[in-house]
Amino acid sequence: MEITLLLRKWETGEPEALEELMPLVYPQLREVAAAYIRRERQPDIFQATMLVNELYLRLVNQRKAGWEDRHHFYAFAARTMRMILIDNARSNQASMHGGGTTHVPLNDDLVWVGIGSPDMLDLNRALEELEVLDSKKVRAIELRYFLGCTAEETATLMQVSKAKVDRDLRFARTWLFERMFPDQEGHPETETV
Amino acid sequence: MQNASERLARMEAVFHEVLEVGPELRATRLQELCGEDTRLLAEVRKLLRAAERERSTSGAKRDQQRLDEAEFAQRSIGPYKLQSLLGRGGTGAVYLAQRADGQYEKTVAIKVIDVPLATELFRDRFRRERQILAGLDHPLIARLLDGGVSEEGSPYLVMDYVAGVPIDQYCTQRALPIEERLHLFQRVCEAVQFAHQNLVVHRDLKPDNILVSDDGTPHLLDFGTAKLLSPEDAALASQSTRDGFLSFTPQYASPEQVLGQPVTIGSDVYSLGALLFVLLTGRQPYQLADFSTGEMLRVIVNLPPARPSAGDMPYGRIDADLDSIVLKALRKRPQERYATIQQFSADVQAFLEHRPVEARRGSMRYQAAKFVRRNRIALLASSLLLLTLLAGVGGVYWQARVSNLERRRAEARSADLRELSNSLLSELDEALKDIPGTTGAQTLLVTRVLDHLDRMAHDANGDRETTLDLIHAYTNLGNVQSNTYYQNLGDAPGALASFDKALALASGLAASHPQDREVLRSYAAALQARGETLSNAGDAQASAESLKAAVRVYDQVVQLPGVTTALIFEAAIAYEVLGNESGEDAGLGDPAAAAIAYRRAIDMDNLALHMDPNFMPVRRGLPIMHMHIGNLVLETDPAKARSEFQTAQQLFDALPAEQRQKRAQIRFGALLVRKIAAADAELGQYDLAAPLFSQALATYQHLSDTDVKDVGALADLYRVLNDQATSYEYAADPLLAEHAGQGPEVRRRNLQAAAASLQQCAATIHRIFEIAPSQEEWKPTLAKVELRLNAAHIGLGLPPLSVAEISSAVAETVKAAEGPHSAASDIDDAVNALLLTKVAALRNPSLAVQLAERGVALTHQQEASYMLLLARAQRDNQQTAAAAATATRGLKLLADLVSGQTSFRLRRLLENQLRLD
Repeated sequence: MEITLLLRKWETGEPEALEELMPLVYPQLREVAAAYIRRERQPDIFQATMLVNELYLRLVNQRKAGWEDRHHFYAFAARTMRMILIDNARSNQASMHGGGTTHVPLNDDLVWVGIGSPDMLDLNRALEELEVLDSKKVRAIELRYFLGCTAEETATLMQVSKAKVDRDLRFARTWLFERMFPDQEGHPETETV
Repeated sequence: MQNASERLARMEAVFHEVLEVGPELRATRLQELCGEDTRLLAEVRKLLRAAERERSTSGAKRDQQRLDEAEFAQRSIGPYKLQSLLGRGGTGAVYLAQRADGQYEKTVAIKVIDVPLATELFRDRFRRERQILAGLDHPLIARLLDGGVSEEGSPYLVMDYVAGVPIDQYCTQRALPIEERLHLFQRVCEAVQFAHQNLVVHRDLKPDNILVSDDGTPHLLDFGTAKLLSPEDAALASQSTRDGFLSFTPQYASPEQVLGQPVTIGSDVYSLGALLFVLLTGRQPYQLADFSTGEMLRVIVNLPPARPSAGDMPYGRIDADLDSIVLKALRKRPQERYATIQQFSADVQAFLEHRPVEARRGSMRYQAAKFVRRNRIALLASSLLLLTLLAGVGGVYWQARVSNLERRRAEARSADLRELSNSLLSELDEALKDIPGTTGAQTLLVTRVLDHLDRMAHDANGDRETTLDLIHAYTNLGNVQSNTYYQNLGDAPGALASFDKALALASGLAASHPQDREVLRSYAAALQARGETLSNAGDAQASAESLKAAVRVYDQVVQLPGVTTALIFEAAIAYEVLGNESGEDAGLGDPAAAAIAYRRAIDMDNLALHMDPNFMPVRRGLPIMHMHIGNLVLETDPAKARSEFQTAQQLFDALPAEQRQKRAQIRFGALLVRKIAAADAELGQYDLAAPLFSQALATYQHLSDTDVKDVGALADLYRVLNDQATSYEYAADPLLAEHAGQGPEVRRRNLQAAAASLQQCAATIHRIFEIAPSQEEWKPTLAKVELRLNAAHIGLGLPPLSVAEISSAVAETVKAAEGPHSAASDIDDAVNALLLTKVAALRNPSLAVQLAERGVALTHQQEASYMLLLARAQRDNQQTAAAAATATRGLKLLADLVSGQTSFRLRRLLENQLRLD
């Protein structure tokens, strides 16, 4: 029950709860992330969600935990996965062996960001910018692309329709792409798009 | 900031609106929407271009990925060559693959889990699918063919590849009329019904999981989310089925699944109802606006489905009977649906034969009545069914139990073992055995079975058949309960209670049927099972008593007319178990009693061979018995040990060639060579030992080279190297080498050879760590090897290890010796480590004495080698008189035990302890 309590605190704006929550969950999420990173040739994106789901059930007494708790947990797990994956990319950078391996996309919808590549750090910066403007979109990105939820799952977790998630992500993806790969200046393209 | 957020929101709104119109109108639309706001216009335009660039970038990247995947398809898993990715599902990626090992060619589907780490959660689910599939052998259910762990460490399942299309597409493509759709649907029912009879609920029945092959046969796939459950206890399912939202497909999910309530057979009835709706109309029973919880609750849980006949009927007329059949299956409350798939299908049949359908009568009472009839026989049947289920759930355990027994019985017979380990279950189990199973469900099942059995026992009145069934059932149940692999189920007291119930019945029955083979056999088996459980629970004394009682009953059984070789073999195994229990340090520590038991096992074996000289289980087992006996006296009477090992070798060599060619048997052959060499070393015959060690080493090296990931093979390699090193260490010891007439130069060469072997020992252990980093138990062993190597280096004048290195190695061995489950050999290692330490700061002679005393106690004051250990520790601790007294006790033990006084090494070293005064 401790976890449930901490999750609530964290969601209701007690950032220090995160520090207590982390050690309880981080090692297991790291494993999930590692499996995620290693998926290389078998990009089974659903695994991560499923593993996190089962992890949740282990950590929290399932019969007493309500939907809200699960929802918080997922938001938290997605956030943690983002941290882990970004850290991973950063350490790849530091040890200078990033990018040498094959390109493994973060997600099939986000093929232009390779797991463990420098793109991840650019993406992270762009997400930090977006956080200030529209934090809900960042939550959706985290759930959908960092944790590997399906669009349906993301919709359920964010308590909006799938259509809304699809639209939000479409825009967010474009916005992030523009931030990460800005148009060449002084190269006007055709008006039609 | 507020402004920036608002700007973004406006950009987004414009962005989406522009995208809604055709490409040619977008520029105009953009102008319209932005009006005077040129900044907004520029920003959205930039975004629209970005969207375009993103699309083309993604396209290029995806093309690259496809190329990569094509390259990937060149890979193999086990003997299967991957061909293409078939799909990705909730439980893993599925590939089309070809078996191509020259034997035969077969196209299969391989489900691979790419979770090389210890993601036990996932493996648990994977194992469950394997267990479920292994128990479902039906022509309409995709068979499980094989399974294992790939070189990368990913578990995989190999299944029948079904070349087919989803059932709804199949019907559409062939434009099947309603009647044929119904026939096809009934075949699906047949497969689902079969699963239900095996207590498996599929939980995710949908067209994608029902493929129809060209010949029109449907095949049920993907039991990845299936559940085992007891037919009468829905509560059981509730514990384990709430694992996750959307582990089902919303359109086919029942209200209870959406609500996260217990899933039962009724849930599959519902899903098949939804399927039938789709097959009859081409439409879903519900239109979901989205997949949010609210929408699913609103529609699936609350809204009644439309009648199939209410809309278009593209495939033929749907009448009121069909409507009512579909709607009955789609009822919100499970108890209002068809109670079984069989009833569902029977109603479809009634429709096809133009008889009145059950669905329209809506008589629930009638159906309920069917379930109420229960009598004693039904009780027995359901108990046995549950036991079978338990055996399935505890599959790991059964396999492990068989393999433990067999391993003890026969490393040589591990031909069978190896086959076993190549079979579906075991290799994966080896990797998975520490993972807790779905223990809640198992515990509940155990309780239920026990409940049933107790009620039956209460009603039984001495009838032979029923009582025999009860004895077997209680014994099996006890075996399941004593299962130590599943942490929560390892319930020794519960197991013992079950065995006691079996024994109470069995002893009564045996008294009234003293000549009844089957009765006595079940009596003996229950006694033996009880003994084994007591042994695992650490009660050696009670265990030995139970085992002795078991062999006494077996003694009677083998005297009875009509006894079979298989039955005699069982008796031999009981004697062997008794021998192990008596001889092991952790057991009674009574080698003499152990030797007698092994001799009796040999008597039994010979009795069986007298009846059938070619009864292979016995012929493979005999050499092991001789090896056991040799092991008992290896240190105290090496000459006798050597002769037992040689007898074992002769018996092994006399086996037909095909019984000696498999990996495990080659391994056993090498083991015997190693044992003979070790006996030679004990006898001081180092020159005889050396070539034998080399011979065994070459065999083990070869075995390890042919399967580089086999930790067992590396462990073998370590053991032979360790024995070889020990032999060289003896040969380098002036006290022991003198006997062999070896001078200082030869001794130095032997010390060099010992160092070389120890170096290889260390390398082998490092290799084990590389393959299996979790093998913690090798750490103290490595420490011991390092310390011995250090001692050899000092003897050779080479630079020693640093104090810190020595200190941590010593600490490692002491830690193992002080652990709660330490064996006598751990203590031996630690004391030797302490005695080998010459660094003054690290010496701890009193700890060495303390540990050695524990070693002596653990071996019941019966082992001369531990007396020697204690004497050495005492001398090191300046307790000269005590050391002499201990040595004298050791010599006395040798004299008592050994008639021929052949123990060269032990005697010499003990005598030396006396001479030092």
